[in-house]
Amino acid sequence: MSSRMRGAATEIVAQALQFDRWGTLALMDISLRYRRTVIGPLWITLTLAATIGSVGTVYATLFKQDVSSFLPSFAVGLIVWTLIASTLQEGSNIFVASGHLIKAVPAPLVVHVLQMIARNIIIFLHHLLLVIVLYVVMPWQLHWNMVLAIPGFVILLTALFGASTILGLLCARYRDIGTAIVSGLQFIFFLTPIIWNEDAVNGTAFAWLTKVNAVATLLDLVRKPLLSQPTDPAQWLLGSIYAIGLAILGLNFYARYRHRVAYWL
Amino acid sequence: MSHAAHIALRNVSVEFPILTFRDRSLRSRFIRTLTPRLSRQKAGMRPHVITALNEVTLDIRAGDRLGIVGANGAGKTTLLRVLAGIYHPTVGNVSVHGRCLSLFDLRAGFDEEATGYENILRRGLVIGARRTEIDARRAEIAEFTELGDRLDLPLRTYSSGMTLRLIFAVATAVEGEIVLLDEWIGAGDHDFRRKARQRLDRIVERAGILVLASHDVDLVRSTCNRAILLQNGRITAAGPTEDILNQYLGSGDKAPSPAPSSG
Repeated sequence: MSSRMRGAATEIVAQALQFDRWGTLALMDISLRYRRTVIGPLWITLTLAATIGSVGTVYATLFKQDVSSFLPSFAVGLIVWTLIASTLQEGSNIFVASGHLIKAVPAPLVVHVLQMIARNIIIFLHHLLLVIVLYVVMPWQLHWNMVLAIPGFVILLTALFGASTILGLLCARYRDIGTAIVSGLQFIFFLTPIIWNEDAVNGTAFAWLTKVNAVATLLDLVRKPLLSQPTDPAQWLLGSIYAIGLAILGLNFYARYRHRVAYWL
Repeated sequence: MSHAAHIALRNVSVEFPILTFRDRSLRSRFIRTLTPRLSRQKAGMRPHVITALNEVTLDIRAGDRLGIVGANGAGKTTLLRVLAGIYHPTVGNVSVHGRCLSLFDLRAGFDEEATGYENILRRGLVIGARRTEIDARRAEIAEFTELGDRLDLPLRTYSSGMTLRLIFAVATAVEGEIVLLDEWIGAGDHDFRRKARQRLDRIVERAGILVLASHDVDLVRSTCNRAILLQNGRITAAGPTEDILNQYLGSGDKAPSPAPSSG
C-alpha cells in the first residue's frame, strides 16, 4: 500500500468512526423531511407499497405465480433495490451537491458520502415496515438463517460505499455521467430478478444474466435471508469479491482525486 | 498555547482548470479521443488552466498579524483557502501547525428549514466539532445572539439581520490559534455591531496568528504588523504594513486581472 493510499485509508477510517458527526447530520436531514410533510420519508414507503401491491399482483397473475410466494419476494427485492438505486444516484451527485460546503469548510470529502449512506439506511428502515406488514398478512416460515441478512447487508453497504465514492468523484469531473447513471439503473433493474423470478430464466439463453449481474448477487445476499430462503456459498464468495473490489477501487480513486475535487466544483 | 502556531508555505502553486460545459462532458471527451484529427484542429479547446497562486513562499509565525492586499483576482481568497486546507496545492508544500479558525463562507452548513438551535448543532458538526463540545457552548451562543425564543423557530422566518447574528455567533463560538479572515466580519444593528466587534477583537487578540485579506486599507493598517502584496498569484512585495500599503496604493494596479475567483 503506498503512503498516499494509507493516508486516504486512515482518513476514511477516522471519519467513519465519528458516527456522532455524520450520523447526527443524517438524522437531522430525515427529521427535516418529517417537518416538511407530516409523514416525511414514509411517503416514499407509501409509494413503494402501492407499487408492490399493484405491480406485484399483476405480475403474479401474468407469470401465473402464487401471489403469496411472489409478493414477499417482489417486495423485499424492490425495497433493497430502492436502497441500491437511490444510494448510487445520490452518490453520483454527492460532491456536486455538497459543492458549497466543500469550498467553504475544510473537511474530509468522505464525510458527505457517509452522511448520504446513513440517510439512505434510515429510509431503508422505514421501508422495512412493509416487510413486517407483509409478514403479518402472508407469513413465511422463519428460519435461523434470517440473521444472515446482517452480514449480507454489510457486504451490500461496503459495495455501495465504494461505488458511490467512485461515481461521486467521476461525476464531479464529468457532469454528464449522472444522467447516464439514471438510465443505466433503469436498464439494470430489468436485468435483475426483481419483477421476475430467477426460475423464469433457468434453462433459457438468459440464465447467465443473473449469474454475472453483480447487483443481483448483492441484492440476493439481503433478500434471500430476509425471506428465510437458503443462500448459496458461491453467492457469498462472489458478493464479497464484488464488495472488496469496489472498496479497493474506491480507495484508489479517493486517494488519487480527493484533493482535486475542490477545483472541479 | 499560541506559541506553537506556525505556517510555512514553500513554492506553493495552485492551478485551476477552467471547465467549460464541453470539458465537463465525458461524451465529448470520448469523441475527441476517437477523432484525433479533429481534436488537433481544435487544440484550443483544451481546458484552460489558470494559475491562481504562483510559487508562493511564506512563513507566518506566532505573533504575526499578516495582511494580504491585492486587486480582485490576485489570489487572496485562494491563498486563504490553501491556508485553511480547502485547496491542496498542485505544487509545493504547505505546513500549518495550530488549530485553524477560518472565518469565511460562514453561511455554509445552515439550513433554512431547521430552527436556530438545530442550525447551531448543524454548523458545528459540519465544521468538525464534537457534539459534546457544541452542546457545551449552546447556551453561550444563544445568549450572544440575543434571539431568545426565536431560536426555536426555523431559520427562514428570521430577518437577514437576525440570521447574520446567529451565523456570527456560531462562527465565533470557538477560538483558534490561527484565525483566517476574508474581510472583517460584522453583523446586525448598531449595538450588536459593537458587541460583535469586541468579540472578534478578543478572538484576534488571543490568536497566535491572524491572516486578514482585505481591501480596507485602514483596517489592515490598524490590525496588521506585516503585509504581503499579491499580484496575479505572486507575492510581489512583503514587509512592514505601511511600506506594503504605500506600494499597493501607489501601484495603481486596481484593474481586475484575468484570473478569476477571490474577492
